[in-house]
Amino acid sequence: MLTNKRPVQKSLREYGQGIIGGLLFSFPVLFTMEVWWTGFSATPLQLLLLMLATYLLLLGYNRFAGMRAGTTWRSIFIDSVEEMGIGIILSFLVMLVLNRVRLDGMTLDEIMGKTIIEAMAVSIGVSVGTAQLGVANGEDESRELDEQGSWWSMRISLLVLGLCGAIIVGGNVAPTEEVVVLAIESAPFHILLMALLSLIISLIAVYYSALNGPDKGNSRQRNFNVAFDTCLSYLVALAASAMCLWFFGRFQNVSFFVAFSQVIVLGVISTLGASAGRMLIR
Amino acid sequence: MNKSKREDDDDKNVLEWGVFGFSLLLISAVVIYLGYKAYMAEDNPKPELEVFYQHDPSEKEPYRYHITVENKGKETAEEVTIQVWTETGGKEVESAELQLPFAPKESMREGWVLFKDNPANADTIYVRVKSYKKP
Repeated sequence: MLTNKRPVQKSLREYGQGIIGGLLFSFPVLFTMEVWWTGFSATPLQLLLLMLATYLLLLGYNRFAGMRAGTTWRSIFIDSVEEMGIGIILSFLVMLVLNRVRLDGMTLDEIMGKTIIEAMAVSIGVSVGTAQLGVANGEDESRELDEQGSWWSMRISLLVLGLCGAIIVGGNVAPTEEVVVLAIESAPFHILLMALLSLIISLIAVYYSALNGPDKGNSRQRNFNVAFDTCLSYLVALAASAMCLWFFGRFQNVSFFVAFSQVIVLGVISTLGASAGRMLIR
Repeated sequence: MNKSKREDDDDKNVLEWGVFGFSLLLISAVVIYLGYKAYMAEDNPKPELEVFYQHDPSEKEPYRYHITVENKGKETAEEVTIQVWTETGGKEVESAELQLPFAPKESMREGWVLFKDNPANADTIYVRVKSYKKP
């Protein structure tokens, strides 16, 4: 029986790219004290939900833009487990080096809380790094072919990649106090301006990526897609912002308007992640 | 053609199976531990702070006291303020404060307070948790 296993050298190169990507995309979070604090404030159930959400994001990213786009679901499940495992180890080591985790005098709950919260951002970084820091030409070609899929599969792909981009970019800012300060001190008029700014950012990113899209010859179809994708990007960014803010406890004991304002404030950054970030991590 | 080539290339080697196996083991252990902690979690946990002090002089700081704060509760306390004071004849002589950003659940934090005058000259040293808030 002829077997053609992947060369170990190739695997090592991909792990290297993953580690560099993991650190590159998650260093802002690793160096944010509000995230360390959430490590010992979060409940075990919240941590479990975070792990589940991250695993689903990894599955989505690996399905639509992973290192070997178009591979079987079995491989996607395995790759996602590997990326999460690498993320946990990397996160633990960095926290240890930064003296945020100590093996003496610190409870297992605190060590695990800090490690897991940071590890989820690192895992997504590992996935993005593996896929983006050295894609072979042959894989680029197959990806081009994949991009010619149906309209709905394209939209689902954009939605998942947008969500990954929004979580990576917005997740870096969500735990900081600045989001709350901006939300509280801004008048409704400023909140409206922020929403409009987000939509403009989304529109610019989507418009220029649509120029190189498959329907570049058909202006009517392109305009519809630009309008649709702009709204989709912004809604995904708002959903990602709300998820991040909820996780960091920013909705506790605040009025609906303050919570809503925080989502809009963080949405400015998440939109950039969902639209421009989506192009960058693709 | 491309597809079959990719599927062949997708065949995992020993290193990849090793990394996958270890990752699966690690994630399973974490999930089981968190699941157990979530199952055992109290409904409405509160911080339970206890403070201890000990004379811990240094050459330049002879009236230094080592403060240990232990949170035995299952909820983290934020902005914890510890007050240490001396009394003579029922009257406060000198007071010092220690502030901790957090006292995590089921954890210990430590710090030091410095007195200007020798606390040994006073009748008693008192220590208490002055305030904290929910994170």
